[in-house]
Amino acid sequence: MRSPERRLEYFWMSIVLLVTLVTAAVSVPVSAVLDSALVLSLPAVLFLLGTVYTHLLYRSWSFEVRDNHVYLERGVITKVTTMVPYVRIQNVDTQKGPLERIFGISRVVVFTAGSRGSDVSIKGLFPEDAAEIQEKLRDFAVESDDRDAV
Amino acid sequence: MKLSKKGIFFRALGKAGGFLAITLFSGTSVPGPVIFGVLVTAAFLLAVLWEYIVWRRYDYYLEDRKLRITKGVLRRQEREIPLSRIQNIDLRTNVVQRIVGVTEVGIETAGAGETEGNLKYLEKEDAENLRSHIEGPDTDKEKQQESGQDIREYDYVMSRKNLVLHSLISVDSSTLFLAGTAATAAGWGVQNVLDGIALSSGLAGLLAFLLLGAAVSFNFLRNIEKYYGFRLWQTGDRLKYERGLLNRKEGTIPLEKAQDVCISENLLKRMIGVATLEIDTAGYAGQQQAKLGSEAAIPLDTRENILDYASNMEGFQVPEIQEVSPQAARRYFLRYEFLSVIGAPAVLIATSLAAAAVFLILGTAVSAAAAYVKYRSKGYGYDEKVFAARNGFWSQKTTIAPYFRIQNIVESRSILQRYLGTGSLELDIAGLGAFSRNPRAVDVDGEALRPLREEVYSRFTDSSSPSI
Repeated sequence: MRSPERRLEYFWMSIVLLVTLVTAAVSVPVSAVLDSALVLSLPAVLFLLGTVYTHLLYRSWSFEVRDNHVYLERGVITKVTTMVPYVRIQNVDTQKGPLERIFGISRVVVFTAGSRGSDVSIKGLFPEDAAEIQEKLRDFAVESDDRDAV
Repeated sequence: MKLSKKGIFFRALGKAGGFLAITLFSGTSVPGPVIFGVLVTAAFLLAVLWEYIVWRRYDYYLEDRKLRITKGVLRRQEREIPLSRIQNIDLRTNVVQRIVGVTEVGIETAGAGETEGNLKYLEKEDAENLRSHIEGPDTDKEKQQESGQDIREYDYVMSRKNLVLHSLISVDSSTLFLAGTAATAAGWGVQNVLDGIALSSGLAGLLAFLLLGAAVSFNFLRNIEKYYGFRLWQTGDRLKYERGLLNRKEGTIPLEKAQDVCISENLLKRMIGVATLEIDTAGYAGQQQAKLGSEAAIPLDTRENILDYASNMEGFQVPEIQEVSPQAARRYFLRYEFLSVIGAPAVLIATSLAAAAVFLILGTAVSAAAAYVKYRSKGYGYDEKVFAARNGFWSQKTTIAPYFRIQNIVESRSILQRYLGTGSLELDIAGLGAFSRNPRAVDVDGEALRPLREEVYSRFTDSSSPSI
């Protein structure tokens, strides 16, 4: 089993930080208008919960590219385990958003014909690892092209 | 090849009817009968002229491996549909069209959301030719016409009793719409008529009763019209069906494209001991659900017969359904009880302590009963070929999917499930998002969950050998 790179946690933390900042920016004038200090604690609580959640979420993520399927585990409140057989892979993308690019990580998204297919993405990979996994999965998918069962 | 010339009349009628409806409902003052007549005639003649041009510019060609359609007056369009991609061909006629001998043909592929080819209208023979060109000749039908006897072997013919029963207990989607409209209109009409007269509660009750009666009767008649003479048979790897009294429809369900089979039995059906069989194909299923309500392979039969049909058509037995972990009952109790615990203080503030106590006690009793019933309604089962899962109390559905249809396998355990030592296993099969019905075994015992997942996966690996 492999864990995502540590940078994934930092990437998520940066999102928490951004949300906290925005909330703080809104709650300062709101607390002035309502004359209540309670509103000011909102960003602090958000930051605390976000940090704990992000850490747990990062720890919950693990994946493995096995002999004939991709195995993926994640989730804090609901733990979800997914198995995607190679024979079912329709196409494989690598994606990175603007923030992910800053942190130098990338994700591999696996598409199947299933109704929840696009759920399956392997996050927190170095771009070269992502490219390697994408290539590997694509090769498997091409090999078993004639059996898409739709 | 050309569409039927007679079709021009039906198409023009549809167009003129639409125009008429718009003028009538647009709120303009109603003109005198003479002007109105002239208007209608003019609209109809214009429509005929237009539809004639459309007819002139519409051609279809039966080619070796594809169907080609060129059409359009102002904007020309050429469409090619590869025959191998065609999933369904539906033939539709209403009573007048049947007398005149024209048929509407709808051609569906798995791709887009709409019907890809809609030919309005073809001569009866041309429609049959088109269908046999796509599906191969219907030898049964030819023999039938020679001998003048019905020699086809039907897999299911809806009996009169089943037709009446089905029409009584299933709600047609158009009824709901119509009932809503009628209720609004009636309310408005009553308001106008009885303006100033106080409406006694008895009269109001009577009116409501009459309206309900009208809705139920309409629903009944509509279902009878729709399902009259329903029969289903198998040719090769296709299921075909015919139904309808005035509007007759012949449709196809391609078995090789079937993703799953669903036995659905709501509380009423379970009490009588009957069920409905639905077959989902990729792409088409979701669309049908959305547009027409679920199109049943077998609208209604006794439970045993439905199980038989399911195994005959798909070549598997419906596996025995086993109960889920009793912890499920606890989980649902906690979930429902949460509401009464939250609600009780609200009742206390609004009314009195006694009321709050009664609310809490009643709420707890209802939660316990609902949780138990919900737990009992869930189940799953599997054998060497298929996996089945049953869910739902009011509308119970047992979804059965062969292992080789699996796209991916998803196991999930919520906080409460982890605390109670259970988990859920979902077999994700191909379909359109919310409309697909994945077999989902909820609250399997935690100890059994992982072995079950491994077993399902290894059965999938074994089954997806190149022979399929």
